[in-house]
Amino acid sequence: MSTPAAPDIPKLPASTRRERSTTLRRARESLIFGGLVLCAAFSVMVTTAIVYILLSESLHFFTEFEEVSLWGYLTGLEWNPLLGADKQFGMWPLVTGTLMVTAIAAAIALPIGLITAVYLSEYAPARVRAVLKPVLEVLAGIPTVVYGFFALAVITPALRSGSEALTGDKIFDYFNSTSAGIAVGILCLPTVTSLSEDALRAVPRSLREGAYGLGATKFDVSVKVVVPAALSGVIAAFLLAIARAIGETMIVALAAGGMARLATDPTEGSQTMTAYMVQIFLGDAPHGSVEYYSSYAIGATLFVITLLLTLAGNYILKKFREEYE
Amino acid sequence: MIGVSSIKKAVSVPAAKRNRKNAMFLYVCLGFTSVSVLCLAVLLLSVVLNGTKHLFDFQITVLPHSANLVESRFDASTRQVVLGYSEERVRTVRIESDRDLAGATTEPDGGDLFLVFPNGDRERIATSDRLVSAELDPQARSVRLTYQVQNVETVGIPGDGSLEGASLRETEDGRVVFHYPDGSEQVVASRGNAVSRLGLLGDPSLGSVGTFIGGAPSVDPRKAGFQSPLVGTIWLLCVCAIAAVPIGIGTAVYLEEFKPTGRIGLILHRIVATNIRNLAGVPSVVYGLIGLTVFSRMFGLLGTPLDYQSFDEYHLSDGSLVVGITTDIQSDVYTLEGPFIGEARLERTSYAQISRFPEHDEEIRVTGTVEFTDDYEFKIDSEQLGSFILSPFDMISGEMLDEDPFPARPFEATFRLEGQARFVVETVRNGRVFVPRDMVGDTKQDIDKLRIRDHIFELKDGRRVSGKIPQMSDGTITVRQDLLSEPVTFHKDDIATRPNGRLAYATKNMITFLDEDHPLHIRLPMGPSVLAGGLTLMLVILPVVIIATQESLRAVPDSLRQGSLALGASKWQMVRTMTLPSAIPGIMTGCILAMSRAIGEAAPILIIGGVTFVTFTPDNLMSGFAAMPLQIYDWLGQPDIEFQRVAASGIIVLMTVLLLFNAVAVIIRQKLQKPLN
Repeated sequence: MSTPAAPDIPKLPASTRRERSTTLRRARESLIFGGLVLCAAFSVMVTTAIVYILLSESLHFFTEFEEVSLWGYLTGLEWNPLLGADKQFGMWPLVTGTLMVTAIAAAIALPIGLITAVYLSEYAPARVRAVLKPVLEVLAGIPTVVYGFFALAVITPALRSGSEALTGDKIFDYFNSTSAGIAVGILCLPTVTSLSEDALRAVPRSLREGAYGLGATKFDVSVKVVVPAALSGVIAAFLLAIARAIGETMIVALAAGGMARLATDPTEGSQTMTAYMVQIFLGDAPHGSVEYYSSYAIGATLFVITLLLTLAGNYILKKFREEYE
Repeated sequence: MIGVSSIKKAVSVPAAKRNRKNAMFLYVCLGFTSVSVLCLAVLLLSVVLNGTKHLFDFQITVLPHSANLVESRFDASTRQVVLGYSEERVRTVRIESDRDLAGATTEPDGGDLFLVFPNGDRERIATSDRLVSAELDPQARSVRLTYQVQNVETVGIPGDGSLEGASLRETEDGRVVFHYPDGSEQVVASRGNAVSRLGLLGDPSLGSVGTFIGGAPSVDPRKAGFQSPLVGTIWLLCVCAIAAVPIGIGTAVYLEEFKPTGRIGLILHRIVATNIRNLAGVPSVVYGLIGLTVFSRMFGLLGTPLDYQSFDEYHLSDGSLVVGITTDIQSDVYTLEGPFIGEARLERTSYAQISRFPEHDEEIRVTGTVEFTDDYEFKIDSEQLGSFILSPFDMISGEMLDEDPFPARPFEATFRLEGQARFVVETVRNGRVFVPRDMVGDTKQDIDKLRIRDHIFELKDGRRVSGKIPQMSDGTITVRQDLLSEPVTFHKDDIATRPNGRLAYATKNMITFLDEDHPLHIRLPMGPSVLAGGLTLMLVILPVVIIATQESLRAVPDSLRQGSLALGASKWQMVRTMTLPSAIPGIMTGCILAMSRAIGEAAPILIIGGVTFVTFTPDNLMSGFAAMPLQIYDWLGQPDIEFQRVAASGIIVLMTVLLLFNAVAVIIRQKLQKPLN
């Protein structure tokens, strides 16, 4: 600890000294407190607005239009909102599209992120760590359209020419879930790394030293002591990263294509929930049309999924935080 | 999970095996870590490789102001434009001798310039090589010499396509224009100096950095500029910062400094704290929906925002003016190649569905009817493409038979066919209008196509006219409901006073509703305006600002608080004089980083209706806007692959701005942050 750089001895504001009337002072205090409470209430209002708007507009969607039913929405396997006569509103094509991209992203971000975190917290010399951490922060700060560009300009051509070299056939469509998934995975990597690294570093030294004392190698300590000890934090990091992957918009709108179909093949394009919303609002959906309201239903679905994941992540972080010492 | 038993088990494995595993794991770690770093490297590299090409490809050569172009030619073998120019340089030489200069003259002789006195004496002054004139000034005892200097500059033409048939043209204002074989132009040289070069910023015919940053968007990738998105983003950020920073800091101060003691207060406090953590996890696209409903539409309670949009104007070379609103709708452009007998072959140059990206050799067959009405004229008709416009503007050697700038007419069109003919076929979705390049007169507003939204006009006689294509010339507005219906024409003065009492009026040569508003004027509902966009972004970054502020407030040691309270300060006085000032570097850093997140957000403003093809920069809070990430997204979605490079250039600009923000944040953190504990 450095010696405290003695802050200037607080000079009471001139107004305090002059102020005789405590009533006035109290009135002003409560006025300011009221203002602060209003600020705080604003964030609660935002949440209320989110819930209210998504609910009411989805309700409108489900009740006002003949072709839509809640049951059909929850179980339907076809999503054709734009085709004139035969409009279909079953959420599963969009949900599976989202899940496909998220699964690919998770398959990339979770292992690489966790192992990078283990390396940073257990193995890396201080100097390497001092370089790597900011580098990962740079990754986190890059706007998502840039990742979209990366997917289109680098990942997709690489996948296509790579598969052509291996099998003689361009297996991947130009717009495919894999490319988008990889880009989303890279995007989520810093989230996983920095959150799980925080968790790993919070594990007290005594646990590590105890294991070393028993003759464990660094590998044993990292994998069998530190990671299990920080498991709640690591899982929370995973959940938050997955929530981010599900809510990611621009990458999938650019690289995954716009065909809403049941996503079974990662080499094909698929449409995610977020990409659908972009498609609708880019196409200037007229207010009051069924596709306009359908995006609120999709938004509500998306909100519920990500909220559940975020809640679970925060809950795990709080509840299962292993308190040592 | 962790227990002595698992360690004991691990330790019981032979040491050699364990050490091997240990060493291997380190390699795995290193490998995975380098994968993350590699990703970043490849990402940045791909942006730089793609983007710099467009940014720096085409440097315009600036010739000196006094330059006199002697020769300009294009050498196709080296792909270089050679510019030979002469330039006058003036030198003033003092006369060293102190003799009387009355009647003295100057005279060149044998490569030198001599001063000749009336009595025949000669004195050398300077070299006469390339000398044009010499003026003797007896009063100042000096000679003003003007030389003519020859110079050669070369300019490379980028790309690798054939340049057969390219030519050069010199304009009257001293520019050299390169004509590509396809008819497009590029300025390769211009007279001027460093200062006037700045003035060239934004000229769409220039292809260098300044042009990109200062230019308007265009459908031609060579001319696409980034000015309106850049300025739009700055407007958005200002609105966003003004809204988010006070509310964010206020909330954080409430959470950290005014922890209530009562039971209800405590519950409220906990609700707010939990709520903010969850808000941070809400996808930004959901905030877009909220922004759309709350700010842009205002729940539809206050009318529709459509009435308030400002128009873009496009001057066409036939003198007409087109007024409309730009939107972004995907387009199909097909090139039809003759001869048109029986079946027409469509060469796909562009794709409507982003989900479809056929290989380049794929043929699209249109089995419409092609009917020759006489030897040279024919009719084309196709059901497969739906309604589409045939425009004769791309005919290679045909005459333009139709002067209407909007080829919006029913399916059939009659053209003259001479040899090979090409036609642009456009499917019109949601009302888009094609204005051909050679019809656009004003290069500043060089727009190749217009995309126009539905529009509603209320007229004084009670009629309500709505339609997709507002067209205006001489104050007359033509609106078409769709391509097949009869157009409705009315005079701009017939537009009625609007329900809210404000008059929709026409300015000099452009219809504008309420255009001359004060920059801070606010109308409700906000529509897809800068204000709505900035407030929506505020929702997105509010949790970030709050959490960052909370963290820096938490870092302020309690001793400071207790000290000021002990001196008799009230809670607010303590916050104002002690806590906030101590935490301000951290708060500023957090706010700047939150802003840099706002810069990169595209989804929410896309939802509220930020448009991507905007030629104007916002001038008041109610203006429509473009934003950098949105424009990049639009470019990436363009079918022309050349736009990927343009997008990469845009990304470079975007990342440079982000880098600046981060640099400021780092500097603040390092300069201002004092150890507090």
